Amino acid sequence: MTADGTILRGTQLFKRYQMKRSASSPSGLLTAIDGINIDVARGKSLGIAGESGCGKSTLGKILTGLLQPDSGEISYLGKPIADMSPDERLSFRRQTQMIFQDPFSSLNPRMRIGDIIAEPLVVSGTGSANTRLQKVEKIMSTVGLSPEHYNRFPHEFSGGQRQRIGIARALAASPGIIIADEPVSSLDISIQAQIINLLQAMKTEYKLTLVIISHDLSVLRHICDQIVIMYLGIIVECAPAAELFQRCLHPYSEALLAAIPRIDGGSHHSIPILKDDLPSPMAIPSGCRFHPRCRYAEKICSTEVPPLEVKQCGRLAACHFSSKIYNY
Amino acid sequence: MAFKHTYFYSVFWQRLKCNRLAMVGGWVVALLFVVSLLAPLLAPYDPNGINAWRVLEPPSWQHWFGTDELGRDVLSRVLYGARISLKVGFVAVGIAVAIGTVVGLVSGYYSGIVDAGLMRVVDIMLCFPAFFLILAVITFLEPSIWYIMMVIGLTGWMGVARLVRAETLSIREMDYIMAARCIGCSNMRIIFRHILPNTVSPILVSATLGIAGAILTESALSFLGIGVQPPTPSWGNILTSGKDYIEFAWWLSLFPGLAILVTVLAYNLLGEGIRDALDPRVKG
Repeated sequence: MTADGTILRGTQLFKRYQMKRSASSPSGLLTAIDGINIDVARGKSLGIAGESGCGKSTLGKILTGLLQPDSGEISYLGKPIADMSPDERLSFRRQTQMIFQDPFSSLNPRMRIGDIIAEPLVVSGTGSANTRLQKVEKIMSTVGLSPEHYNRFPHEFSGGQRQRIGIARALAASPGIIIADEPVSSLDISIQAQIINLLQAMKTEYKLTLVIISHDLSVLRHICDQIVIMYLGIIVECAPAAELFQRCLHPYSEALLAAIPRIDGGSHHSIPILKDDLPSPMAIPSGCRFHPRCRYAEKICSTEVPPLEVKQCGRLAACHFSSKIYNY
Repeated sequence: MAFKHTYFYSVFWQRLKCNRLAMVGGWVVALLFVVSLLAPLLAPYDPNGINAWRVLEPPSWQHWFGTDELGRDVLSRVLYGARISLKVGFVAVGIAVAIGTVVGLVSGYYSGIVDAGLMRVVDIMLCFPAFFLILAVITFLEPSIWYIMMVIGLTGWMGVARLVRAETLSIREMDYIMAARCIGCSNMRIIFRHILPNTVSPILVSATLGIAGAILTESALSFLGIGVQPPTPSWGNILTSGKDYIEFAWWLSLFPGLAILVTVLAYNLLGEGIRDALDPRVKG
């Protein structure tokens, strides 16, 4: 997380949801994001990984400005969104585009795909109808769609093609940042690779900054420069992708890496797969929130919260026993 | 570029065609359109032409549906009455659908206090027995077809509002609405460009069924003498004049009554057919 070259920064972000009160959680508060600091470096790609329900998608939506955090601040190019004029906020909105997980609900079923892709241009009043058409056709061919399909409807396309339409729509807004929320997790493995390669190619061609949210580390490995591991609303580790796959500093990252299937049938360091389910975000464990599932847990873990701090080789992790894990 | 046909409507059409009753309803409705458009050509006599020599004649080859107490041809009057019914049905439902759709969209989209407020208004409107509300309003206004259409429309939008609201609530959570926000679409654009087209199905169904209701209401009002005023023929007021002679001139009540029955039935069949055709859970 470098200070200069930061395009998007989130400081001390919190987001809680009020749910029904129940015996297990008398307050009924669901903590989705619990004090996250995150920097997105310009021109890089940042991966956010974690189990379902750990707050990755919420974080993504907060970063695009689609969701208001309860407290904390998002700043774009050094300027907090809260201080922006409505015009600036609109341009920030257009600068950060999202790609969605479900390619079926992310496209309006009653709109032709050409109109879907052209909409960012129409809304921002860019160009004449003719130049818009040209631009849409150009984008369609760059993402691998045939411009002849301009007048078709979304249901006539497969999941992978629909995801391409979603990418084309995001690109049409000429964004600086694209936040992709599980962009490939609902696609076949063979299509996943195509879409990842497409994102990679678009990143180079349009000089984009990418934020990719995924539960699948093997997806992030291919495309990300930096990876952030989230657990129950906080960041537990942040590392350059290449280094993370060499060695990790947090037992949760270790477990995630171990869960990646490997062709030889073995797994990293033969670490056992995590026991138990994710604790409820409505009743977060005391101390280190990972301790009930941690195989290194000691007494201190259930009482003291380990801060996210610089450990070995300048990497960030939130664990009392990082050095132990590192040397394992 | 060749593919202009929309999948949605072609499947809808396929399924509707398989529903025989709905198709019968559809054809009757189409026939009614033709009849009311061509009434001046089809009617054998002037609907208001009084003939003192041919009073209360039973159906014959000259007068298929017989004549009324003033010697007017009942067939011609029923044919002209179809125009009123159609006009009332469409205009009243048009008003109801327009109000209901806007209220439903706004309520469902903005939710929170706006939603709570609008839905309480709906609840209050639903508390009134609609027919008596109409009766009360009409007695204060001079009887005119336009007032009737407006009053029926203004008291009939709540069902549409609720349906559209429910649909809006579910559509609002779709990713494509999120995407539209991301692009920078205004709320108005999201509501009318992204949500409205996806609520067409329930609107279509309730409009078709609503037409039947509006026609019935108009007939009832005219029957009670506060609807369409004589001499303008409407199915309701033909019935009214028929009730005085029902013991010996059954044709005066039978034919307008049958016209109402057939029309309302046709719209209901068509409406239910449309609902089934649009609902993916019903096998077509």
